[in-house]
Amino acid sequence: MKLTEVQSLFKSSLLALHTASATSDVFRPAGSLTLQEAFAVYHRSYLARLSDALGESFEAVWWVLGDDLFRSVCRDYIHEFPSSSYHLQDYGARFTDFLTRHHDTKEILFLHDLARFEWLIKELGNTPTPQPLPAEQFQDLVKADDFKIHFIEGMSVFESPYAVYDIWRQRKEPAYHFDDINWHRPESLLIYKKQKKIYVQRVEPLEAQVLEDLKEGRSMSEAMAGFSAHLTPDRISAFYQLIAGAGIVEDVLILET
Amino acid sequence: MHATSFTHKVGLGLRTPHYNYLEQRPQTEVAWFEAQSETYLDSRGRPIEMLQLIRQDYPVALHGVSMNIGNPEGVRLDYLQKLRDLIERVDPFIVSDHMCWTGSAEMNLHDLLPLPFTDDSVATLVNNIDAVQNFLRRPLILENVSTYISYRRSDMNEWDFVSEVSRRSGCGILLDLNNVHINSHNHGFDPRYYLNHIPMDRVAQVHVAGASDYGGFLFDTHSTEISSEVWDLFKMMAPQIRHLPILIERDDDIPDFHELEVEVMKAVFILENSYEADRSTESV
Repeated sequence: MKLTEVQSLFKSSLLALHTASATSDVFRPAGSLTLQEAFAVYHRSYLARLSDALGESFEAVWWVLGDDLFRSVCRDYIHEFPSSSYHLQDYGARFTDFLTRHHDTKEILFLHDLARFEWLIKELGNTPTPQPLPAEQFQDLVKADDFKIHFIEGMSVFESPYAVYDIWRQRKEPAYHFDDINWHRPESLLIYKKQKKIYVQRVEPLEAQVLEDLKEGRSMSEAMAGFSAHLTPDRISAFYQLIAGAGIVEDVLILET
Repeated sequence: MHATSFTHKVGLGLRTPHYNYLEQRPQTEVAWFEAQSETYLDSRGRPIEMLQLIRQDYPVALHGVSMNIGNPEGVRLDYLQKLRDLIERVDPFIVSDHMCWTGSAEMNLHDLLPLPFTDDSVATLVNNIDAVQNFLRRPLILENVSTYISYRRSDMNEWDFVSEVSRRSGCGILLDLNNVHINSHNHGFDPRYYLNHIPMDRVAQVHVAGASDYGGFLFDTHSTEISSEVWDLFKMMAPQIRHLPILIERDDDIPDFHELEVEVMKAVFILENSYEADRSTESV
């Protein structure tokens, strides 16, 4: 039997957790284990590593589902989406959408957004420590008539019809507190990296929209055009202070008018 | 900054729970750090920033778990390219992985799986190691792994297999004393016999760790203190390995940094009290 065939047989025995009679001609279990028990050692290890990776990325989803259901959903996900990456931390990119299809989780309306939020936090954590423009310099530059903002990489706007941030903040609490959360409440969040930490700040839906537009490359006047009725000078000033305080601006491009 | 001289080269794994402490750049008893390669290959955030900070004060070794050197289809080129980039960034004194297979191109099983001790496996490893060493332009060091299944058809013992791969490929051996202990228990051989048949001139690094006893077998959890059996093997080998970089390995249930420092000091103490006359020849 060639090495490729041996490895293929090992892999199928590990995944299926049953040992065909031919398998016992090839493999010998360690210690006092039976061959099935020995493959079960590898099988459990495989599931545990991938489930732990999902648990690390989706801690709040785990909290909502509880240990048994989360592990069960993980097993189904692992079966459908085996890992092909060399790094366990990459695992789980499709878990968010999987939750909306899985028979045990699709009825939990906020779960998809909660998972999306957690994956975003993880992605922002993997961005370099930002080097933002000093707040005073930013405040000077925004006195111009029009300008574009180049944000730091570790910045994102998150919107959901559910209060996922409130749920996420409870993730280390005992499960029974879950009933107290008013999760049916829309949420607009500015999430950003400052020095080495991730910060989450609630913003108004209007502010979230302007930030999204600016991030997509629109100028400040373009981004604010649709909201002129709502944007008083005080509100614009508060918005600039929000941006300056968060330290999310890498550069400002002054536009000729 | 570290206080210990590099005479007794006992290091620790760089682990996330210790980042906050190590960021303050305290004096430690650790001579060098080992970083798990995959954690840093794609990192653009805190992990790589932490590794680069550590590298300012300490020598660093890169230790991988996903090279899949035992894959008959060869080693992934994208993996090697990223590893080469990381090597250029941190200038490690050792680059190592495991003498095993970990899956196929379409499915990484994320485990260090056993190879049959056959000529076919030796040929596959030698080919792959040659390709990797040429690509990285540096020697590769490979670790003996713990196993819970062996193969009925084997052409040689594990120690002969490890030695033969090293001799024919030119790779160094990362001798994991805990894995020798586990396999001796699980597969029924004398660990001293194993260690006496490993060519010490090919050993470039040593790992010392703890295992968990599951009744019918020992399991390599890296989540416990180093057992007395492994310390005994370490004491026995001390005269021959005292010039080599030694790593106290802990990957799970990671305790406070100072608790691991105590194990570092214990290893240094044993090495300092071993006999120079029994020392092996140069490392590869």
